[in-house]
Amino acid sequence: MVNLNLDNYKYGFSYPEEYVFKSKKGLNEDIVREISAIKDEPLWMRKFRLNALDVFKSLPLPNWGGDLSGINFDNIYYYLKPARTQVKKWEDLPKDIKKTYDRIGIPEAEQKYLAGVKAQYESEIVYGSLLSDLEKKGVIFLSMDEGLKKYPELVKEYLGKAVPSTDNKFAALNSCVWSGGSFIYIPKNVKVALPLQVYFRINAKNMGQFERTLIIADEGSFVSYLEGCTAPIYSTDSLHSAVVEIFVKKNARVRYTTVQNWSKNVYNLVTKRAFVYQDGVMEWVDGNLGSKITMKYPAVYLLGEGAKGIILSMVFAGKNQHQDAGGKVVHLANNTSSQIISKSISKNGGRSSFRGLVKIAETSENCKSNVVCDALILDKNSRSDTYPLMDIKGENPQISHEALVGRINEEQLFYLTSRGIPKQEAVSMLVNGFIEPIAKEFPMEYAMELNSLISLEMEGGVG
Amino acid sequence: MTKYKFTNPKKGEKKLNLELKESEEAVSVVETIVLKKNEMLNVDATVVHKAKNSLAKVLVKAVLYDNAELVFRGNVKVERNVKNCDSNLSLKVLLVGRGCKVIASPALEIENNDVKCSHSVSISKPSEKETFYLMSRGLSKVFATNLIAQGFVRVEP
Repeated sequence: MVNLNLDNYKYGFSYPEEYVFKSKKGLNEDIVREISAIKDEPLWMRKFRLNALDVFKSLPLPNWGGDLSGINFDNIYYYLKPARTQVKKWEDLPKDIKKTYDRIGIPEAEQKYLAGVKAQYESEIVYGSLLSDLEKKGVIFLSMDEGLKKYPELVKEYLGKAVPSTDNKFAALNSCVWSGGSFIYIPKNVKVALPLQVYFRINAKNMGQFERTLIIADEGSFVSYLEGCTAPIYSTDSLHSAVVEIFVKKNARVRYTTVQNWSKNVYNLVTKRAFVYQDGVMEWVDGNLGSKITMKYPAVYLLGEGAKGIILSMVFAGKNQHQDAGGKVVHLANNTSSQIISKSISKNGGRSSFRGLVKIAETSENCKSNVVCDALILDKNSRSDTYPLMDIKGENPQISHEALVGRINEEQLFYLTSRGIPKQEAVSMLVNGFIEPIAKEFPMEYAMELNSLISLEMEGGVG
Repeated sequence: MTKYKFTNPKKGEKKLNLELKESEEAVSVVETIVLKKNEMLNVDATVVHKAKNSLAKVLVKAVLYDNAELVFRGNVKVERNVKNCDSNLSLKVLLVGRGCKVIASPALEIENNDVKCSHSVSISKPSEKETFYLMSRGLSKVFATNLIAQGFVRVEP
């Protein structure tokens, strides 16, 4: 059996580190003050960071989910500044950084189908663009650092409101050393037709990336946001711990798509949460292919009547990977509805876990929720778990949950092979069919990449 | 088939501990629960497949009246190298009263690929159509709801 998992990872390259600033390894008050000083932040932000540091120190590692005991918090660089300023033309980037993005194909994608792009390299956003007519309509698409400088009131009002630093250990860590990420504001009734994209790249060894994203979609607006991420392959581990906060106002709709393809030495521990007000719709589309351990449960809090939350999650766990993903929905208003669909594939000794929460508060009436999780285990060394929790209190709820774990359907496989399709190809067709309901929600380019990736992962790995 | 049953270790608790140790063993357990006004119940159901070709089906049906509270924990585990198992765990809850609470956490832990395992949970009120039909035949609302509840918990022979 050939294991192509690592060899196939075409983003595993790296370039030498020639940076403007690199903090010392480890985390302490001096480092946090240093980051804050370099960023020239207002006093309240420095206090926000220092408070979060205390919280981080006081909280234990989670005792559930993935095994995080391998993270050595003293062996990580918490802040790396790759370039002096953010640029508006790819040509203005330092040569190696530009080469990286060319190889990943971001400038090409930008021309074809994106309304705006940000590129984060290590700790900072190094490139940013936005279509000029969107700028005229009042759409704000900045890095979080720029956002803090230009719109301090907005940032102060919303930052930490959906995900407070006290939420969990990694939210606290992010709050104290955050850098980069995007700040988006969509004005009333503005619909952004093309997606906005942010691309995250880790290049250095033992790097910790802690971006912070805040999206505010005002009444009646729409935005689709894409994020992608890759990193080089190193023998030592890197840490990625982001916080994403989204506010979906009345009648607004936000779609947040993630294609997580970190190299298999990255711990990916992310907190994502959206507050949805009256008749708003939040959609999380979450694809997890890479990383060593992922723990990520995009959450939707339905705060206004008629609000709706949709979580589509897809994970692929290969050799030495543990993907602990899922979704959370909290119904806090009447007539709210939610749907969670999860598809997971475990292969070559990988472990995928679905962890879900559906909560209906005592005061919420007529809420509906539907959860479906399907898992496919492709060989005898792999493992799949399902840990859903339903906490139902309100009047007249309609809850359904189903989960199914199994192998490739023998009959279907037999049918395909009887038609002369080689077994390996047949398996990858069936796997692609299995994830199709979610894969089709990804943008075309990603969906195609997903398909080819899965075909590659399948190669030589049947049974 | 009757070897396995939910036990009632103490008031307010029901437990099932199903360990399938013999190959080709097939077990089906159906438990019906009626929680009257203000009653509380903890239900634990654990199914562990330790022998190959084993089959288990566990179905819990519960009717909840006013302010009743049901906590359901389920776990289906298939160990490594235990092949060709088929397991299903279902919880169906009918909320007849108001102010009911249900907490349900059915887990699956599957350590090999030669399995077919599933679980499902449904929580809802009696359907309005059914209630309307019975009432149109002259039954009072309370009678109609009780009739639906009785039908819901009746175990098919």
